[in-house]
Amino acid sequence: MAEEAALIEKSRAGDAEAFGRLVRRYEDRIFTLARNVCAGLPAEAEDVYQETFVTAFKKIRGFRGDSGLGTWLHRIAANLCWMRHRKKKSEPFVPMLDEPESGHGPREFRDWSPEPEEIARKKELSAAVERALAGLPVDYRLVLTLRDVEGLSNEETAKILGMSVAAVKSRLHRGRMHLRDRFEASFKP
Amino acid sequence: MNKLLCRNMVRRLSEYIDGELDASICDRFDEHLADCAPCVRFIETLRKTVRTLKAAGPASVPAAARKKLQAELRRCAARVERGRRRS
Repeated sequence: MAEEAALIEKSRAGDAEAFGRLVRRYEDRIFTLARNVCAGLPAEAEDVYQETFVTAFKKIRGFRGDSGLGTWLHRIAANLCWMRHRKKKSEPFVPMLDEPESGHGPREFRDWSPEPEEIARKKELSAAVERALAGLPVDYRLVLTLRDVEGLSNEETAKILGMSVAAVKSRLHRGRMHLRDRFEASFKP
Repeated sequence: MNKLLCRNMVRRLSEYIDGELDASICDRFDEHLADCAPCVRFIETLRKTVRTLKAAGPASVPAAARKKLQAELRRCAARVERGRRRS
């Protein structure tokens, strides 16, 4: 952390080399977030990745360190994702009820997939996840990526997205339920 | 199978699998699960959903995008430096 603080200080003075070392620490996580939120649009994901770090470099003088650098960078990336999607006219619709299309009444559910580790060996996994994420609103994609891919806590996710913890939990649950339905359709034996 | 309990359970399943529910609610759900095969299957598929998302996993930045960013950061730093010299 002391090393990170020193790199931040040098970056504030405009040292691109020092900032480059900070970029290397966080770039895969930021790119993963961008890729999942811009599902199916790789060029947009690269733009969000690029803009996040350029914006951060320009604004790092104003970074007070109230939150960690990672949280700050994620917040910039999430805002850029939101701004890009706000320009689009429509978002996928997700019903307000916490019930998936399959309803769980419960009816008979197939055990829809082989073990994920098994599927992971197939190229279809990434494509299926990308398609499933693309069917969700941006808020949900952000929450699912931060919570389930990055493994952040509800509190950290809420801080990054400027939402309440309750809103994070609700989006996480609805998002998972809808992905479950989509995976069921994609992976059925 | 108690349909009302099934519905309540589905609404809070993420909290259940994330271990965020109070112990008393967990106990009620565990009791229900002992007797409700559809709920057990449903939970397993939700857990698999989370694992599948994780298995799709973190992405690595494409080399070309990394190079482009490095060049842009160097340009930004040069602009900052020029601005300083002028002032």
